[in-house]
Amino acid sequence: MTTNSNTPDGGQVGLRLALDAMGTRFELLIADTGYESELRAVGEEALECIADWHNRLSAFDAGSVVSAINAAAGERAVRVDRDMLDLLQACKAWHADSGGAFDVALGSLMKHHGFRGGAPAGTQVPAFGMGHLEIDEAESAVFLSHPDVRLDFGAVAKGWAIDEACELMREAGIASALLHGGSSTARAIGSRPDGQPWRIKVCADEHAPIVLLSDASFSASAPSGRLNDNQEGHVLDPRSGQPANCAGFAAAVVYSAAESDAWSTALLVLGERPGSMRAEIASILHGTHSAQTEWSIEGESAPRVIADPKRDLEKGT
Amino acid sequence: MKKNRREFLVQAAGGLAAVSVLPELGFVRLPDRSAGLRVGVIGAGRQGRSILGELTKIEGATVAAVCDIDERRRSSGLRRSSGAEGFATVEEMLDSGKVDAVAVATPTQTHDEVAKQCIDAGVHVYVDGPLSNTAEGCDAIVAAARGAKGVVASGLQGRSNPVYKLARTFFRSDSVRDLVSMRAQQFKKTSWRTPANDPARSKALNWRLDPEITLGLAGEWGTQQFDVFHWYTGRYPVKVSGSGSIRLHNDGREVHDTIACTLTYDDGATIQYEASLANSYEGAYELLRGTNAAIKLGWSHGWMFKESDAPTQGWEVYANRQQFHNDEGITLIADATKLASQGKLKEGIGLPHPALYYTLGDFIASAAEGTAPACTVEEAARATAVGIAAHKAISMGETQDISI
Repeated sequence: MTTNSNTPDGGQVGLRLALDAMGTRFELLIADTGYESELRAVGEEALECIADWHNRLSAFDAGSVVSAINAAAGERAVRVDRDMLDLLQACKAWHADSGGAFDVALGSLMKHHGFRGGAPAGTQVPAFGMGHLEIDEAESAVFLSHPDVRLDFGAVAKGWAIDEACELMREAGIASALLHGGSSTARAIGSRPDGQPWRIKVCADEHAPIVLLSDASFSASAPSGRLNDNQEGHVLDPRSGQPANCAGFAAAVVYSAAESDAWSTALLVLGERPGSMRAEIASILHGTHSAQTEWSIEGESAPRVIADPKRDLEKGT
Repeated sequence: MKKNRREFLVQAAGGLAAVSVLPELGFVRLPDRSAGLRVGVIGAGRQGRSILGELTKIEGATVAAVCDIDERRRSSGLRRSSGAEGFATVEEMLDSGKVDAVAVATPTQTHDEVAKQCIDAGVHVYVDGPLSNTAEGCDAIVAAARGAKGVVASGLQGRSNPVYKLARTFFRSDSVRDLVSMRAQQFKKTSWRTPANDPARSKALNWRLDPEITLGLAGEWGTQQFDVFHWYTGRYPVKVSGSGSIRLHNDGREVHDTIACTLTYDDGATIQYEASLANSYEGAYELLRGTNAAIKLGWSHGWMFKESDAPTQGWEVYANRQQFHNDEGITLIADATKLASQGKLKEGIGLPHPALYYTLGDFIASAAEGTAPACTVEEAARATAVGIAAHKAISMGETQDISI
């Protein structure tokens, strides 16, 4: 971070900014030493970036790009910018890697199950899924081939926006910061000012692991986060079209917040770590519905996760 | 070549083969790239990127070029387009022959030079508001526009806003009756500072905080809002007084982060204007009070608050209403009659797009059809003159006469 400003307010450590977007609260802590005015400018630009992605990805805002694509479903392709094309291609990749457990074309299904306002609908399940999403890179255009299909980036929007915001901050020279959205997706730039990683407890359970984040991201998913009128969890299984019922809690730790978002959702649906998951991604699973009755932590970066802080503490470790 | 984060994300995923982009899908009804106006956006800062985002949504326009001397900004602007070409200078972009129209979103003090260059090149020109930071700059653009081959439009956004247009019909048709007073505000908690890694770049990007150049809050924000009153009343204030201070951003800046001013008309009517970078409450709005009703305009929304003794009109039966503490506002909805007949009145509350979208849409339409723009540069020059006078009054602490 530059400290060559001619402003007289230098020397402060730590700046906290916040933004309400995507139906939640984003909170940014910049821990660099520097001029407050410069740090604030960087932080504001990062949060503006998140607000911008909110405007582009909201399925509830009729003026968003996503709404334009949804409105044209089954009728015509919509030209999108390079940013949007990159997001859609990344989502396609995660969809393929997860065996279809991660899917951003579940908007019609979310509505059918009563997660987008109104009560759960009848028995007629609408068309859904990324199999209906066609991307033409040469024309920079996307097309939903069935009129019922709707994009809904709820499972990845926070992570993608956090990544974009963090890249802006890194380019501006920020070396120590933590940015989270609704406490379920967090990304750390560097470590804390004392050189130690940022510590995040994955949930309120006393035996829940603690994740040590340093230049990495953490995302958590749980079906109980939001329930419909039938008390079903809001995470849907794109393979069956029904609410996911495999794990009670899932989390992923990897560099990109968008990737950790995608995988935390996919893990919840799958209930176990798939062989197709990149080795460097740490997976954390727990739940009454799956075989994971204890915390299961896997992946090359698993050492970033303290398995049972309470027990470890008792052992004096 | 160094991979960026996004390339890494897609390539790192094992399913890349399955992802491979579908060739020649034969999409139905994809607009032809060669059809419509080829637009270049000059200046890829925050406003330029917003313009790029809105242009992408407008049928009949294709973003063909992004021009910015700053490589980082240019690259960022190109990501907000599909297939556009980047240029470091306006001259290169105009010489390429790849644009029929341009949107000028450079710092205010450069508008006159850039706009004149583009007007002289014969392309259609949209200049973001305010028109310039000086009266001389405004005059130069107005003079150049008189001999222009293409359309020259200014971005005073109230004039293209569907809610504002609807509210103006009520205002002009006597629903408000005799004008009592006007007030407007723009509150947004932000530093107005742009981050930069070196002093030279910081100075260039933070022109709004340079007391030698800036029009301050009254000029940069106020001009847009003052113009709403000019457009509604058809009149301009004759003098302005005001004051300003630094309430939050005590970072060495000289430019006020909080201002208040009073603009007075020749009959004694006033506009009270406040703006601040230290608080966000109630954001931006304009309010016109009349003896029969008040109209409040909040850019995406508008309301009319009627006096109890005001006559009731037939359409009010269908009207949607919103409660504001002790007052009930009639929601002003564009195409309300049509929506009411379809039983969709509530879906029309609030504009689906930001005001900028409609402003650019008007520009594209007038350029394509060769019709007069929604806001001419002459009108923008008059609004800017009011903004310049207000900034001067606040900076100097002296009442300024306004001559239009």
